[in-house]
Amino acid sequence: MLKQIIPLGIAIALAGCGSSSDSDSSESVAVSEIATSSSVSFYVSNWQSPQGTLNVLDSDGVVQESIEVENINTASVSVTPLTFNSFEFIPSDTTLPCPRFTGCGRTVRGDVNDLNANRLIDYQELTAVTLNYKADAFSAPGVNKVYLSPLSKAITEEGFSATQASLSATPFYHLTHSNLNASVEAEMVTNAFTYAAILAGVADSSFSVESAFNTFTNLETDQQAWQDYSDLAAQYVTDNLFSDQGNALLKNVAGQVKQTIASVTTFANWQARSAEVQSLDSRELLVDTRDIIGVARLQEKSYSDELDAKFTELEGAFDEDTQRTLDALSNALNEVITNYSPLADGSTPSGQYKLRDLDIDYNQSPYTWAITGTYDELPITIDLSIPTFRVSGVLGNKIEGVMSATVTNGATVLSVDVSELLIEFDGIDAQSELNPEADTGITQVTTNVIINKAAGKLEGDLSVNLNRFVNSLGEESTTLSTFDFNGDYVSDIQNTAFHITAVEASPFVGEDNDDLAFTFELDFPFSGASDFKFAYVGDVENLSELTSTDIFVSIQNRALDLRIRDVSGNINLIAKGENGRWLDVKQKGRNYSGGLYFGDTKIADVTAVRGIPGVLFPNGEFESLF
Amino acid sequence: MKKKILLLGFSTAFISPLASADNQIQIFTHFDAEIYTEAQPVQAFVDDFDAPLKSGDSAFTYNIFEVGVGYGNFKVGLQSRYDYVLNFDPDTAKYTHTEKNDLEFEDRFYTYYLDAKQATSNGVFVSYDFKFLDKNALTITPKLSVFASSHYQDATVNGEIFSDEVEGAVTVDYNFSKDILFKEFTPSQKPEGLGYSLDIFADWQVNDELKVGFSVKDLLYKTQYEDSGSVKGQTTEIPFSEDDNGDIITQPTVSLKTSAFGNTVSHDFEMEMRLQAFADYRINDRFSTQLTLKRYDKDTFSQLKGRIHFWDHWRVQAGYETKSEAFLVGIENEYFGLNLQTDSLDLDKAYYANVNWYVNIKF
Repeated sequence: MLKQIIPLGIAIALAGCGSSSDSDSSESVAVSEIATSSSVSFYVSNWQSPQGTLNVLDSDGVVQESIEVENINTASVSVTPLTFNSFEFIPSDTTLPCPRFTGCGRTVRGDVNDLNANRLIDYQELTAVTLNYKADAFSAPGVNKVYLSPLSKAITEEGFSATQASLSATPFYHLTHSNLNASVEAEMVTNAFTYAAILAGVADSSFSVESAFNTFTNLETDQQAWQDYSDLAAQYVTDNLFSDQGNALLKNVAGQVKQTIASVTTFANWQARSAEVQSLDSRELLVDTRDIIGVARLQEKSYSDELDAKFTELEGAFDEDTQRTLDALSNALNEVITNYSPLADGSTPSGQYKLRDLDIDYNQSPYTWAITGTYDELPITIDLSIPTFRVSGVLGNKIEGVMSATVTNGATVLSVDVSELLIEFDGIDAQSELNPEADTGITQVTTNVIINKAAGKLEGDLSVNLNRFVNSLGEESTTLSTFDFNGDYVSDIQNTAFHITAVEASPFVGEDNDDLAFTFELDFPFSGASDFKFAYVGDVENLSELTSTDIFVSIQNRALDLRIRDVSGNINLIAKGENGRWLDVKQKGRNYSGGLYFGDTKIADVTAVRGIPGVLFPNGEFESLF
Repeated sequence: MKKKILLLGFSTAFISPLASADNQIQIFTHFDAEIYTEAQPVQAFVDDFDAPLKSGDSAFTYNIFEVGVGYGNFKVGLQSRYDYVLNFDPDTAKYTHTEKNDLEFEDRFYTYYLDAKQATSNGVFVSYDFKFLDKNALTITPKLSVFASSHYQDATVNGEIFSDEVEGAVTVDYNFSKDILFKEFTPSQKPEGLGYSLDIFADWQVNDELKVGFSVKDLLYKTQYEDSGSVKGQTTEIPFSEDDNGDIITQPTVSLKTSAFGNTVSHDFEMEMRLQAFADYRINDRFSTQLTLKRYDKDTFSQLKGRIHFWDHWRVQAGYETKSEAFLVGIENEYFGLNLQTDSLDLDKAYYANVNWYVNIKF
């Protein structure tokens, strides 16, 4: 790059500058005196009546403004730009209906909300749950949108920053000017956390999102309430995808929504929210961008060799072979348990059974299974022993036991080494008009697995949801609906913490599991970035591609959303930083254009000086991008 | 605007400062264009730097055209100047030559140093011949010029670059009317410069045979440009480093303070003085000789001329100059003179060229 700036030299030349100044200087773009304003609009899930009181509080928690709103979802307030505020919505009508298509479970006889007196809280019947809504947000210049949910309230009350947990430059409940197009995703995440709060409240009237969140962030031993809440939030996604009444918008953002929920509900490093005063023309985003370019060597339009080697190895680790072993294990377990256990119709007695190519040795006291053979053409052995067996129509059936297993797929060997196994059935059996006889419902399998690959080893907690449902042909079908694998990958060159999720985005279309939306969150220290964090939604094979990429990266606790597009050599990079700052760089050959923005306000121009891209500020200062 | 006012302020004639002034009134015009380059011949220097590289660290061109009137010892006139002076490190010439000709770089740091000054000006001058000694044998002539300028370059680039790698630190201090370095920051309005210069000329007719002289051009020279384009800043040798935790610390590879968006500056522009001394010896009626020493910044040129005098006051002359290795031929009399000097008649190979003529009309 220096080379590009240097030949200036002698070529100043004796040519001189003649009288006709055919000035090819850049146009003076009027970005000098900057005035800004900020407004905030809101979203509350539509289970809640939208009428109520909106309170705007300052950073000290003092109410600045209290407004009666007809509809919180269309309300908008003006706030002082670059300030920290919180927003509270108090609905006039506090009642909430059951949000789950399959209903909210059993209730006592005579429950006034059980309108059809079937002792079930059906979909859209009222529940006794009430919720509170609040969220903090930094008011970036321009339009802000704040997504209110019981979880945003819990995080706000604790004073935590949700940026890192959200795998996004802004918290999952706050969008600024540059990321307003992510509104569908934000709405779905908000719906999920609201949905879970209602369902958890129906199941246990003492449930509170705030106290569950506290046990989680304080790392208390009993986090069952938080675990249940997390599972229910994740269930919002499958509930909608697996129902023909489901939200049609969800399909396109299913991966992102699943990842955000998975990350927020497992994030372990909650830090206090910074209330650092922000100046309009701060260059912090340039520093953050330069840092990530520096460590990842993105200026070469590929990752650094070190990063690339790690990505390539991870791509190999999460390949089809790995997925098939996981599928085989969870499907075999599900199929065996539902057919040869107290759950099976007519409670199958002990004995030797054969299920296609599997031999099953089933004993009832205690419950043990010895399973050998092949499943989906993969050699498989499972030893399972289950001391407790909960069969409950209200809470769903639950199996807790110990399992050892191996599934072999060529060089890929999955093993479970005397690990705890948890299998839960949701106990919801929705009648299908196409096939009233069918058993439907969700099975969740949770265990610890080790997968040995040629180059390294994956070890972590696996949680798989299998949905049994009636497909459009009226047939009973079981498909992997969600997949959550949280652990470490260890090889000669890396020790990487990963959190992989997948969700079947189109269960009613095509073959089983042909539309799994995968997400990856990776934490690996490498040269120059001791706390590098990377998140990505998409196919594993594209992990190391940089041509059409949306990734989240974070180093030194600074979050960035990067969007890279390469259309026939014309490259566009958008880097979104914290608090609504963003940088737009368009490259066409040696020409660069774009801008450095704060919300809707341009604070500097992107240009190139002798081919070197940089940012030119209104005061004439030029700073190269890297 | 200033330029126009200055031009309007004038109409009449002048004189060469060293011309004799027996007649009361004279009209005078004078042109001198001199160019010299080191490292490369002039043509290659300006174009592709593709001639075989020679050692060298400077280049310049001085061009002046004057027209004016004289009355007695007093002269006033109009003046146009175009001057360009470049100093550089020989290593920088080597770097440029290597790069422009796609040659192999050495694995080392190259010194990168350039100091370039260039100005075009139009103005007026006034001079007065102070006469001393018996028969006015000693003349001392101060000449003051005041001029306007809206075209100039004043650049210093200093640092080092490692091979052809992205490594090296260079500082830039660049002021200009048109940005030919970055091609980005030319101000929307040309800067307005107002400057002055002071020259001193002296010559002494020691006796009938010997005359000696001395001149200092640009003894003082300063132009103040208002609303000038400007770029100051540096490139960083190592933009990425790591702290104790192994975390990256970055700084911009290039950071500049520029005149973009109307952030123009006021800039003082100065030129180095040029010294010249001569001794003229009249051998007889027919022949004379002259030894001249020129000192331009760090370069010294020695010139020896021989003359043949004929008719009435006519003379033809020829000479040779060291350093520029240039030959000179010329013809002169009191009213007219033309001198040509170069080291090569093939202009593609010339490192030096000088054209000088004058016309004096006396009444």
